Parts: sequence; C-alpha cells; structure tokens
Amino acid sequence: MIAIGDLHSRLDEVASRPGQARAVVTLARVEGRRLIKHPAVVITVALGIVQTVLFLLSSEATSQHDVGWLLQFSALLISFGALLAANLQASKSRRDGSEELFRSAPLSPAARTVALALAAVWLMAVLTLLLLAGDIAIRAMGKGARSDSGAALFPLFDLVQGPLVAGLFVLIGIAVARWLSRALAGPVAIVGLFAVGNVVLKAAKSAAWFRLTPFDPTFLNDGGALAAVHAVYLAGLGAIVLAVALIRHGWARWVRALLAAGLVAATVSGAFQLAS
Amino acid sequence: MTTMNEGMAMTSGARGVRSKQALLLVRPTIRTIRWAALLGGAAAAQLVLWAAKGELSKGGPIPLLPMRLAAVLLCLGAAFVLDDDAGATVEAAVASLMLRRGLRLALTVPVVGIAWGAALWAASRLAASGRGTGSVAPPSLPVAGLAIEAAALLGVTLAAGAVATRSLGHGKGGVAAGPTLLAFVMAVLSLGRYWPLFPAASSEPGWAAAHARWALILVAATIVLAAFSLDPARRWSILRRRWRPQTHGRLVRASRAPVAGKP
Repeated sequence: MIAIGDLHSRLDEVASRPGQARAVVTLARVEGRRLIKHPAVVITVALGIVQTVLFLLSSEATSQHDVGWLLQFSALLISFGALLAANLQASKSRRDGSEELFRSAPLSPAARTVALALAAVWLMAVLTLLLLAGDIAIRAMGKGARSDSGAALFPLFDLVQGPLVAGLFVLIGIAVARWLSRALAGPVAIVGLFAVGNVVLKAAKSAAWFRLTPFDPTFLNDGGALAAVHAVYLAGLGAIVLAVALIRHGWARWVRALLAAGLVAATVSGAFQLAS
Repeated sequence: MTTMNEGMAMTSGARGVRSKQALLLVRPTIRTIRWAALLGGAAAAQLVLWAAKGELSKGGPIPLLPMRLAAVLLCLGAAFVLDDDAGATVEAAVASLMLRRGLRLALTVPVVGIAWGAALWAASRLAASGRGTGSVAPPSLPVAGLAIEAAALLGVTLAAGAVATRSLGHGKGGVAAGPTLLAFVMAVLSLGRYWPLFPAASSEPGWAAAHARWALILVAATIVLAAFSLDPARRWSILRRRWRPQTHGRLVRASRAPVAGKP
C-alpha cells in the first residue's frame, strides 16, 4: 500500500522556499574569509605594517610628532587592495565561464551580489583591529609621536572613517565587476581613483566641497557630530554604489528603494557638511 | 674535417628552418594576441594626460605624475600580451616557448613603444601650450628618464605574467600580472622615503641614482622573463644532466656482455 499522506507532506517540504537570508549570510561568511586572505589584501596589509614600523623606528618619528598620516595612508593602501580583491572575486565566475553553473544554484545573482557586499564587514573588522594596533604602537614608541586625535585614547575618527572607506572601496570593486567583467577593469579603476584622489589632495583645502572628502582636517577638531554626519555620508555613498551593482540584475523594487535611500542620506549629510 | 663541415651545414640548415617556422607563426600569433586590452591601455593613458591638461599647462616645472600614471595604464594593457588560450595545446609543438613568446613580444613591444611615444608627444604639447613666448626656454620632458621607468614597469609586468602563467596555467597570466604591477608601484610609493624611485623632477639630486635603480629593476625583470620562458621540460633536463650519476657507461658495458655465454 502506498502511504499517500506521507508523500503529500514530503511534497510540501520540497516545495517550500529555501531560507534566502541564511544562505546569503553563509555565503557572506565564506566570501569574507576569502576576501581577507586574498593576496591583494595580504600584500597591502604587509606593506602598511612595514612602512609604519620603519617610520616609527627611524629618527623622523622624533621630529614629526603628528604621525596620524601613517594610519590614514595604511588604511587607504589596504582599501585599494580590498577593491582589487573584491573585483577579482566578483568577476571570477564570468571570467572562468562558470556563471551559468552558479545561475543553476538556488541563490539569485542579486543575492550573491549582496553576499559579496556583506563580506566587506570582515575586511572592515580586520582594518579596525589593525588601526587600533597601529595607534597603540605609535603611543608605545614614545618619542612624542601621536596620531591626529592627540589626547584621545583612540583615533575615533580614523577608526570609523578608515573601515567605512574600505567598505566603500569593496562595493566599488563589486560594482565594477558586475558591469565590466574584464580582468583589466579593476586595476584601471584603482589607477582612476588614485588620479582622482591626487587631484582632490592638490586642490585648495579651503574649498567648501573639501568637506566631502576623507582628507578634511576639520573633522578632528569637531566634537564628533561632524564626524558622525560624514560617516552617514559614506554609508549613503555605499548604498548608492551597491544599488548600481544590483541594477545589473534588474530594477527590483527593493533595489530602487536602496538607491533612493542612499541618495537621500548622501545628499542630506553632504549638505550638512557643506553648511557647517 | 668533413664531420665538422657537415655539422655546420646542419646547424645553418636548422636555423633556416627555425626562421621559416617563425615567419609562418606570425599571422596566427597576431590573431591570438589580446589587442583590445593593449589598445584600451593606450587609450586610457591618453585620457589621463588630457584629463591632467590643466596641471601640465600650468607653467613652471612639468609635473611627472600624469606621465607615470599613463605608463602604468599602458603596462596594465600590456599585461595580457603573454596570455595564449591555446598554450596548453601548442606546448607539444616544435616551436619552443622562447620562440613563441619572443614572437609575441616582437609584435607587441613596438606597439607599446608607439603608444608611449604618442603619450610623451601629447604631454609635451600640453606642457608647451600653457607657456607664453618669454625669453626663458621652457623646461623639456626628461624623456630618457621616463622611458627607463616605463620600460622597467613593462619588464616587471611581463615577468609577473610569465611567472603567473607557469603557476596558474596558460591564458591566466594577465589576471595576476596587472595586480602585481600595482602591488609593485604601491610598494615603491610606501617605501619611497628609504629607496626613492619616483623623484619629482629631473633637477633633483637623486634623479640619476633613482634611474640607475630602475635600470637594475629592468635587467632583473628581463632575466626573470627569460628564465620563465624556457620550456619546463628543457629546464629540468638541463638540471638533471648536471647531477645525474655516471651510470650510462656501465649500462652500455652491461648490455654488451654476453648472456648465458651467447654472443
């Protein structure tokens, strides 16, 4: 005799939708571990550590008391490495020709893009720890050297802005990979960002729009409100870049909502920074 | 004497065959080179120079950063020159890896040279456009120094591509060569205060020393490229010949010895 009742209950189990959110988080964990172990990230972390140690051991550390630029330069270097690593990871399936295989998996391409974006959290956590260690090393060396935050225990602005910029660069790498799956696109994007950054650094620091860049020194003297607004601004930019990456897979309602939220956050916080 | 003449005739004959093989390989090689990446790099280099037009035509000492960025972009485009998707198939072919790679480089390096020349010409025109007709002659571009830097960067890129092809497989060297070039440039920038390689102007005292270092880097990169362009089997046979124990003579004598008394 056939157990019809058992067969129907099993059909219900098979037909139920898989837990997308849990799958995305699991994939994000796997991609995050791969991201922080990628050679591009490892090499830039090593470069940042080496140049920091060499400077702190040199006699220049005694004459130059304000060495906060060491942490900022290292964070920017690691951000560039993270951009390249994320770009190569995100474009790998299209370069290898295995994209069709991935499309047969339960997770949609948009969900995989979100998982890659969430993997940036791992890198941001590692960068936060490295910046903390760097600040402790600067203070431990003595010689009067200190980071930009001066008397504060930790360079709070650097600890917030550094990881946020790294996360933004990861999202840029993913967006470039989604639209241009060529291996050349990531390195060219890095050179382009470097050129833009160089133009920004050479511009007049008194210009109002300088507040929108990570290099404005007025954040340091502020009590924290301006730094918080700048963090919201960076998060808004990140939402815009992620939405641009997701648009590649279609104009879903939630993607439009994410783009709108990012534009509102970036515009409002940018206006606050310019007005203050 | 007759044997030596015969040997020399065979060698010149073999060279003639190799030349004919190389000529026959030119058109198929042109078809397999990724010209799109190379031309894209050249176009991006020109774009960077035109974007830096304001800075170049400002007057005073010519800023060298735009030219250096253009050189890096050109080299990123040239990173895929050694990639051959059919590399695994033609490994067993008569034409050696050195010949095949040499042919690829002979076809693409002049193109890179022309693109670099065009970039230098564009930069000098942009720099000259911002200067008035004063009595003081405008400073010229340090062409030789910039050319050595660009050549060394290209050498590093190609050497990285050759090493990556050996490690990752044919057709995948370019994916690693571009990031390796960027890592090299980042390392140079990070450690620049201890080993300066990018002096700001040709009038700086460390200019000659920096370009002597660039020349050393170019030589080292060329050696690595040549070493990794030897066929892997040939490379191992050279090493094996050096340390293989002398058993060949004993084996020949043993094989000639009569077995069970038979001649």
